[in-house]
Amino acid sequence: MRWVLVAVFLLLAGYLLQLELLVYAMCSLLGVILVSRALAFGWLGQVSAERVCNRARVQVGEKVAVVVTVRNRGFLPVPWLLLEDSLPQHALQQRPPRIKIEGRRLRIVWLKGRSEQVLTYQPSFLMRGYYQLGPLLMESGDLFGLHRRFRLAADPHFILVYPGMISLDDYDVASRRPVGEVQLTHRLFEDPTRISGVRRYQSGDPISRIHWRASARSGQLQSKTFDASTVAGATLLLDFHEDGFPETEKLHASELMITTVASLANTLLQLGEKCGVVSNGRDAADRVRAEGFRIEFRTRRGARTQFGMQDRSDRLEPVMVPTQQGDDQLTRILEALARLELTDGLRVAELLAETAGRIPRDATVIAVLCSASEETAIALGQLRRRGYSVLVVLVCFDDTRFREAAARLLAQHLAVRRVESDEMLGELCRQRMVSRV
Amino acid sequence: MTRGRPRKRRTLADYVGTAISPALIVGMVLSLTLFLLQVIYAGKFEGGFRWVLVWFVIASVLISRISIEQGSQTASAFGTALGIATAMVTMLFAPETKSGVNSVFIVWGLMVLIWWCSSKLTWDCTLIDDSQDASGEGLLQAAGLHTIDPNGVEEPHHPDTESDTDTVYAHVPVWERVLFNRAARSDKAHSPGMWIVYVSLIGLPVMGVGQRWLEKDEQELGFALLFVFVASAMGLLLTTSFLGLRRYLRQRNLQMPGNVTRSWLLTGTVLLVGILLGSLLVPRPNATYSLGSVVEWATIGDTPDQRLAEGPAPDREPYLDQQDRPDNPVPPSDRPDRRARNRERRKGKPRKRGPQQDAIPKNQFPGDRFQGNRFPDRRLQENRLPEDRFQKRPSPNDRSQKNTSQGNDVPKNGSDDADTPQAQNREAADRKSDAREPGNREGSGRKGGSQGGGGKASGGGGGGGGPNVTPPPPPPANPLDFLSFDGAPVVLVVQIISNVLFGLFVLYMLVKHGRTLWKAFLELWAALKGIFLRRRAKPSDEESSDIGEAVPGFSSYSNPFSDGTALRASPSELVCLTFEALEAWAREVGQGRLPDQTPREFAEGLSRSHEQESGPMRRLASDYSRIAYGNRPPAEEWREGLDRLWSWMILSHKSR
Repeated sequence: MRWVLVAVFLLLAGYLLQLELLVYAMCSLLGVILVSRALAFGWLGQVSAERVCNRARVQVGEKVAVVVTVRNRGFLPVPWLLLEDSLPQHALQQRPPRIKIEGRRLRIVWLKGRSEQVLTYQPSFLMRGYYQLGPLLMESGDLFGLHRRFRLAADPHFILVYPGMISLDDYDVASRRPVGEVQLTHRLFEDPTRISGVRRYQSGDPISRIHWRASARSGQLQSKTFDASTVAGATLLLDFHEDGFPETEKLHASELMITTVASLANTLLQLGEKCGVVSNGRDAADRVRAEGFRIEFRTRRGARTQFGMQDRSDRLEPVMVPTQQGDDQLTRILEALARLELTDGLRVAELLAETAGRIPRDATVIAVLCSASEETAIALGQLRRRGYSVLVVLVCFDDTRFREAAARLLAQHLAVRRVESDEMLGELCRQRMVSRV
Repeated sequence: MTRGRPRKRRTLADYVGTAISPALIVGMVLSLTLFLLQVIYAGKFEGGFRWVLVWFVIASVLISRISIEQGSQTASAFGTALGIATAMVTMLFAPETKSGVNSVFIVWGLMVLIWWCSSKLTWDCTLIDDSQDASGEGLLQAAGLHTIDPNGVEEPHHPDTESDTDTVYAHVPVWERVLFNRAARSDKAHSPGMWIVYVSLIGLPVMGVGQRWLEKDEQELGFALLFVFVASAMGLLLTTSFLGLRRYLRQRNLQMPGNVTRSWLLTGTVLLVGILLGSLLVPRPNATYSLGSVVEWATIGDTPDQRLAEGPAPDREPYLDQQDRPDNPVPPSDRPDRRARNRERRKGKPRKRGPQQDAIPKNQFPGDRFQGNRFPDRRLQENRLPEDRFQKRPSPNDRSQKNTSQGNDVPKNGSDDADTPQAQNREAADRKSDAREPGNREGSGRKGGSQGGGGKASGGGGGGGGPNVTPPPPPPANPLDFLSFDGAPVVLVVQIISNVLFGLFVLYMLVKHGRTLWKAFLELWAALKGIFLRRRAKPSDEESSDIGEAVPGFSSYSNPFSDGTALRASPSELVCLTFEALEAWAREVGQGRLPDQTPREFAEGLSRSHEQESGPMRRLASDYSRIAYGNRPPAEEWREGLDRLWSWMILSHKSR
């Protein structure tokens, strides 16, 4: 604006000094600046947009139809308008890509007064995830190239892509026995449905434990004794700390771990057992930008950094789906897994310290890891020593790394199984467990 | 963006645009050069110089183009040869003057200026490198000359730029931008067309102020050169912007559709012509071309150029200056030329605006001076009798007879008779003779020379031999004379309408942007003061100001209920804007929002210390939460207390 002010001063000086050329020069200069600015602002201000998506939750490989309608509400035509419906850049640039696009999500149009244009495309989601479609970034500017404006329109849509699952043959993970309830090794909890015997009443026994029929028959108060509670179902512990992944295996290993957890959960819930998930990964929903939206931007880069999901999340809260049964438990687990991302926050030891109190003892803890550091192995060993039934599934492509990790885990008396492909995952429950001889 | 997909290639429109650009560059540089030559040079070979410089400009642009296409080695060979040849020719044309000022150096300076401008503009406007990523910014924004926030308020420092990346990029100094093709920031790509802005911002004031050093008879030429400069610059901006946009699209694997190209070019041309002609409609002092002249041309049916082309009017010829006549006994070499006048000017003599203004009393009748300058030929016609207008043009013999009959008395009248129609005619005839002989500068020098040159013509206004009419004392020049009107009713009406429209436009702009202009004025004033106070400033001051710019302060927000934003913004936008402002205000009072604070917690905290505004604050936080987290519009009573909260924040901010 200072330059406009200087031009105005020069214009006034031209009038005072009777300099026709100065007046004409400044009028032209101000004319170009003001007209270009007015048009650059006006053109974008009169355009609105809305987006329609036919689905919000899809499976891997499915398509979503997106229709973005852009309307010019004003009478002035807009000579050029660059429309770009934004998608997560990392999902497009990743190799292999997470999203494949059919149709044009980037288009340049000219809009007559009181008219509309439609942008149609179909993204195919090749990997699980939580994807933001939109907002629509509209770019226009004056024809002299002096001003360029960027404006956001059409609020974003979020597409949840569930992870893939593989059916597991002969589920027999934790107990090396047929599927069913197994007795816990310690008697911390008793199961009132499993009466193991009768004993003489002891002072302090609750009245509900008195076996009235036996008391009547014997003439003395008798109390019931119960079996310990049983292990049923599993809590799936997923390590998603990025330090645990070799750089070259990060993508494939993480996706295979998700598939492993989803498949285990699916199998457990199909068998009527309870299942839950605990992970130190980051929930993508935490990165959704709820605040700080600006409507207009000066640069495309500035707009991109503002309209997309945030790159980082400082939230350290573990992702937990409580271990329970239910019809919608699988959906809850799959949604959590779909949104799960690698983190640089809690490590496994910290995760267990944070969540061990909320992990039920009557369910096997199946830890799905990519690698096992000494610290991780010790933390899992402590968990086992506290009475949990613990099994480790190592998703590892490198034999050397697997042997090193397995050695650390076996030192803690933990059972280990290996998964390195979808085929191996299918036979997870039938494969021979790696254990100390 | 998909890898493997072939990138779009240039099409015919790109090549046409690239071909037009050099012509526009030539027009821009040439008009500036010729204008400067007109102002600076006062020798006898102006025509020759013009001829040489025209070809020099064209050659320099083409050689710059060669350097782009074939490399600088080939171009430097051509450039060296051209420079040597042109320098030698200028040495022949411009020998050292008696005053000691060697005009060769001036012309060589012009050559350097031409070469530099041509090179910069050619590289800037015709080299559309597809491999270089376009910045996607407007030129004024990229140059750091004009930054405006979404509310239309100028923002000296935008948080977007910092949020783009964590890296802090160095700002490139102005001299590096001028000497090398650098952007304002080290991370930015160069924006094509930037040099058009730079050259225009320098060239327009130079040409405008340069009018002071133009003779009256050179005004039309000066205006024409300025017109060409403006038109070329705007055309070049259009072309470069067009090519830049196409490159921008190609880099995104898009091709500009035909209808977009057509609408772009059509709208651009309409804008260009509209601005050029619209600027002509603005009332200007001593306007060579204006709406009035157009209307007058339409009503009278004769253009000023046509009247000039008619040659000398029969009743003008007798009043020609003595020196103009073919039978002038004084040889041309002895006549005082324009260079002599310029020499006198440089010695400190006060500059007169021009012979015509010297000659015409300003109080002859209302609007006379204005009209006399703008429509000399019309006045000529009016002062002629009707029968004179249509009588057969006299033959040269008749003219000589008249000359003889008038004798040498006429020049002796000097400026005393300048207020007569004949004086006006004489000036018009002088202008025509100059127009016919562009290289002959003596013609224009005579008028000034008649006052002080050699005593051949009568010297001052009080020269003897004139009629015994005491000229009225000239009144002081009124700077608003250009607003006065001539008597012609149509012209009067049109001028009134155009002036009223112009006044309304100025009033509208003042009402709408007065606050912004005032703020800009204060910033400009502070910047000017800062130039002088910078040496005294401590380094810690600069550091603290740098830190302070990282987040927008409350002063960067303006009350949406007073600047009109509230009328066009949606409720959600208004609530978000107010909440941002509240956050900025709270930061400045030391109660900024903590990273883990929700909007409601933040508002609760503020409400405890500012109970009088607790209601609007809580409501604002609630509405903001609905918008931000619930993706819902604000509650029905969102507006309640919002304007009061703004007023309170502003008052509180000012009182601090």
